[in-house]
Amino acid sequence: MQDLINEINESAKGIKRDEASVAALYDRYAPALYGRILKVVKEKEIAEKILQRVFINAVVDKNVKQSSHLTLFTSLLNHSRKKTYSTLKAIRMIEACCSSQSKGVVG
Amino acid sequence: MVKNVLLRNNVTITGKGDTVMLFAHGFGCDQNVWRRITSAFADDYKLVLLDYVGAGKSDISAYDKTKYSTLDGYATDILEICHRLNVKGGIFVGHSVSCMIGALAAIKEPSVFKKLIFIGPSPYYLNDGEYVGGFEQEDMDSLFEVMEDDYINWSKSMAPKIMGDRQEPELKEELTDYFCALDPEIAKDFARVTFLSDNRKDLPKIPVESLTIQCTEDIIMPMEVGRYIKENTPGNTLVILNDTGHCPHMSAPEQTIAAIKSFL
Repeated sequence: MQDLINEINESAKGIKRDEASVAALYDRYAPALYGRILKVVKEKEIAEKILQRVFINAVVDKNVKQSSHLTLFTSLLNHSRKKTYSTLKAIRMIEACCSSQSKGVVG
Repeated sequence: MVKNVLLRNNVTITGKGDTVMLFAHGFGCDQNVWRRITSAFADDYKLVLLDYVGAGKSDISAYDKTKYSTLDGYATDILEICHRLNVKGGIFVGHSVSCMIGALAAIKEPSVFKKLIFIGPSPYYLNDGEYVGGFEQEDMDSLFEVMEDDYINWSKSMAPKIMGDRQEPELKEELTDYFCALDPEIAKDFARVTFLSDNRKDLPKIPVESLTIQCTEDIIMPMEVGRYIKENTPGNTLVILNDTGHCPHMSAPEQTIAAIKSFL
């Protein structure tokens, strides 16, 4: 988990935030979000990358930071849901374009 | 200095006819993608196939980030190949992004092609007001993010899962067998120019007859796009194939050949 937090901090370099609060944010919400993302994408590597981007956005985008616990979690949950489905759509796009290169039928 | 353009784009020439039929592949592919339909035209046409710089067996050292930051750069390559082969009144067959590349080439030099064939074209992939391109900006953001990651392996591992409702074992085998024929670094640039270019304003300028071939369900090209092209392009014919996917020249070659022959 520390690697992931380091990556998030690295990606969000230059953005004013308290690194300890990023870790706290991650500790508190990441497991629940990760489980939901993994359920959809079914691949750990991809789920971790989506989760990382959700938290980077949470750090960078002040709109995601809300005052109440419920609102913040809901905000992160909505963002992770959108990011999960747009990532899946992106992978489908690549597959649709590139799979024709393989030797047979494409979908 | 223009290098030998035929080597640069790995141009291959076959067929017995005099009229040139030039085939230009789409994003993620190379000229091998035409192998299921070209033989149907080999007796009547001179078939010219190419790989864009960065794809297939092209000369990657010819890649120029600035030149290829717009579709015009690719259209210039098409015209250079046509000049080298002295093509006049040829037939252009393009897939996906190549359709607009061929359109730009025809607008620039109307004498080179007498007919354009668009397979799975789109003048713009983003939704914009009433225009339905199929994608939102956040979809594109995710696409470019995915391409910064290990997208080839991701697509490989995800394909059997995301295609779960299609149970044909041969399809899953093919998807697992998948590979992208583009240099990974160039693919990132090509994805941006492919999916962010807006060529809607060019459609009315296309100076020759064109055919649009579209499948009923294509994640890359919604049905509205085919209708938009037909309504905004003089002399355009729209044919909807009874097939799904973005590459009917691979998945439905007989239907694709019949549509092209009927148009020609």
